[in-house]
Amino acid sequence: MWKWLIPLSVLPVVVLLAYGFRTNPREIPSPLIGRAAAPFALRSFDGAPVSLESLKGRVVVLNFWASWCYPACYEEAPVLERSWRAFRDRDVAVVGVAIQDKEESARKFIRDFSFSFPNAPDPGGKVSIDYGVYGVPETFFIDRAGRIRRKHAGALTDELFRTEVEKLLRES
Amino acid sequence: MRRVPVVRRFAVALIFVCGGLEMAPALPQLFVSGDLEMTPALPQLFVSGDLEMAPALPRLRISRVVPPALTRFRVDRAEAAETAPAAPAGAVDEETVHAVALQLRCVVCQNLSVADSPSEMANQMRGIIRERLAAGETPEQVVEYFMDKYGEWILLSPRGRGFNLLVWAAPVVAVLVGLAIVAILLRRWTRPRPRPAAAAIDPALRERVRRELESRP
Repeated sequence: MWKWLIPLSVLPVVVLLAYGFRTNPREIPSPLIGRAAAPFALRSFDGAPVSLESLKGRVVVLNFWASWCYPACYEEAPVLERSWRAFRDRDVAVVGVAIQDKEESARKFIRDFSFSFPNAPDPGGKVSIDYGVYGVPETFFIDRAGRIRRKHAGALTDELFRTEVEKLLRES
Repeated sequence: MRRVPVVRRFAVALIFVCGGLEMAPALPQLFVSGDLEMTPALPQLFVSGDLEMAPALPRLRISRVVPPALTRFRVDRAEAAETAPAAPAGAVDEETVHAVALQLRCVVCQNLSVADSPSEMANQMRGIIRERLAAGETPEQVVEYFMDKYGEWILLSPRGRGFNLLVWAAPVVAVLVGLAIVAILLRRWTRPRPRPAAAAIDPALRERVRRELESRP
């Protein structure tokens, strides 16, 4: 019995380690999926009000970005603009929220990628924390009923944007 | 029972005692300090952002750089504070803010609490804690709010409920097992052993020894 005690006491630790190494430490499931998206009312860089309330009934793609987030946000920006143009006539809204960013850098980012959808700063980080954001970029897909249906962490792809938005549009 | 070297048995006891202490959520500061805090929750050690080596490929590209100190928002806040109509915010005790921040994990850091992190994210989180307390929420409600948004992951020490109980109980069990082994060993070592009866000595040999001793100068 004594002979087996050492190997046996090591076993659970090894099993736990083996399990731990196979999980992605960055992938923490958001508790917000399926729940109503937190309302927000921001003022865009153009000075126009942007609120979730005003977008009710549409599929909303809420994207958190920052000009200091290189390279992921820079890779993603053209995808966002392209996808927005492809879907803008189909009851889809794209909203960008610049988090922890400097005003000039954020404006330059918007200019550089000629964003044509509303983008707003998030002073104090209220909106980003309401959405449980860890890092940038993160994107939330909100259905017509205002529920968060999917959270994507990391740069978006055209494919992902299209499939997710089309799925939510079909639901109506 | 087969004889097992005492050293090995002692090693088993040591593994249990040290392992137990190492895991003990209640004793993090005592045994491990600062950033190398493996203690609060063993499951978290493996599941969440602690082991950088773990395969993080899908999100490797995400920039998690902490932005440079952002003067703009600080200015904004300062201005807001000046223009705010004598807010009840003055009533918020910084120590309470700190106490709440200590319980929360800084989401962009590795093993730092919101209270300890210099990042902008943690700074904003502290701002939100302050604001919510000023609005009349209790510290528990503020913690609840963050848990609601980020899940239990946001807590630096897991709540002692359900599966989590294992994390809290395992160290205690391990220490108890280790102490039990030590106690058994000590008793065994200190118990007087019955000496084997001396074998009868050959009278011829006894005679020879006597003669040799006597013949010594």
